[in-house]
Amino acid sequence: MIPVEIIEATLILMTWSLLYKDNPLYKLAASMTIGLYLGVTLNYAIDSLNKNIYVPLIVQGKWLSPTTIVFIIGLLLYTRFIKSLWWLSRWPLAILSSIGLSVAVTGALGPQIIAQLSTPPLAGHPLSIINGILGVTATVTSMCYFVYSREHKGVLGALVKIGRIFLMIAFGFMLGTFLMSNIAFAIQNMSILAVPPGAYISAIAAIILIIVTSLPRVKKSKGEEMKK
Amino acid sequence: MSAMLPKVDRLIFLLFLFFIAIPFILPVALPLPISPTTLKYKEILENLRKGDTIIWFVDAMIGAWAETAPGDIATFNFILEQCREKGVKFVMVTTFHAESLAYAETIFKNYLNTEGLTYGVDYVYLGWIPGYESALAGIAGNLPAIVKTDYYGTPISQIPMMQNLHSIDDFAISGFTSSTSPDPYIRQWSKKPIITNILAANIGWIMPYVEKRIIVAYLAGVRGAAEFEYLIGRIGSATKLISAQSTAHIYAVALLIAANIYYFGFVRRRGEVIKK
Repeated sequence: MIPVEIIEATLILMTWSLLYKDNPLYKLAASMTIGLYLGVTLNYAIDSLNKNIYVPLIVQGKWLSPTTIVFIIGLLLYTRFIKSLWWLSRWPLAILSSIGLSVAVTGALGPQIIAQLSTPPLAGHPLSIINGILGVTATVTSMCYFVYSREHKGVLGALVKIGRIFLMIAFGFMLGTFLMSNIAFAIQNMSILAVPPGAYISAIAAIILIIVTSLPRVKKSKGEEMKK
Repeated sequence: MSAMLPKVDRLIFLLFLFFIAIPFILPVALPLPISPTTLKYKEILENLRKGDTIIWFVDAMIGAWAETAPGDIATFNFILEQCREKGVKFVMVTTFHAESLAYAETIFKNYLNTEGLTYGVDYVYLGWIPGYESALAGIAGNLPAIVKTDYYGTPISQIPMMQNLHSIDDFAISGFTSSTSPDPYIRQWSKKPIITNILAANIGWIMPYVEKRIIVAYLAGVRGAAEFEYLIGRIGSATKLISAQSTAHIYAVALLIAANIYYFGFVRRRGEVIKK
């Protein structure tokens, strides 16, 4: 039986082959990923329907329960495929978005709005005043950067310059942490590629890459010779 | 030089792959200072007392496996240790996406040491409760109304440890693993202390909540996971990956220095010559 690491290494290298150029192996890996993703998602979705709808309604026969109403509202989503009834699909969407919004807004009041305004960060710390001033300055000047109704000149121009520095620091931090995350993904893959048996596949791929990259040069040099 | 840039681009990637491969071929132990946040994370889990129940929302996507799974595996095994030693109860649940279920299921089935523990008495996995924030709100408000069965399809009325769990008030602490927004957990579960294992890229996102002590401790990606593995004395995948990550960071710093030397030493000077 083929070790799992061999399959993993092959698939990783097929995906990474895009770094050289777009090729059928990359396209195959991309299609397999999408297919697998859809398959897994569909499997879990059907399982969820089975557990939450089929078993209580059909197997246990609990037709007089809130699940029936939920099931009917869910079914209404599919009326968009029937021309005369498509407007009914708006109802479940409206219910979904209104419930989502109300749940989020009521939850946001405490921790996301009131708590953030109540006490300054690092309250009681000697540096809290500086931190507070920095926070307010960064907020105001960064907002000034996005004022487009006035030319960035004079006082506004100076504020925009300060705001730009704060934005650069924020984006730099975001980029740094984002890079750290993405490096982790590459390293995880490398832990398969650098150690046998995955390393054998890496060696084969390296040889193929060297051959492929050197081929056009040979052809070119022959063509140049012909011209001469 | 600008014409050469596409080639330089590829060379940078190639060298990057070469450098991160080195620690796997020739293992090197680079120093790993333990950050205060990881210490706090362990302390909070250690301070759980007999009868305390911790609920963990395992909502990361499979794509985030490299970053969040090492931390989750170490954390869950540590919590299970607390279950074994102190009688803590552990609830795992997924609310975000079917893909998150695949992630949680893989950890639950393959990476947890449940020796000496009884499923349904010491720990339970509730599976996927679809709805994300609505599900989080539902579990916090009225758990039995939202969760009918566990992962295996067993009605929760038949699961002993679920008999005393009705709402957020019955949990001592909550935790979450997310590869997207941390906001829904804050909005629905801030009544109780929250801890998290999160992508390093999302650390900036949780900082306002950390400052307000809504999130009381966190693990920051692979780095946090490696620190935690070291603290609990369980060498796992994060420890193996961290040397390669340190190598990659050294390489990134070297690239930054080289690019700045090139820019200030050559490009800028040449630009000034052209202007004159």
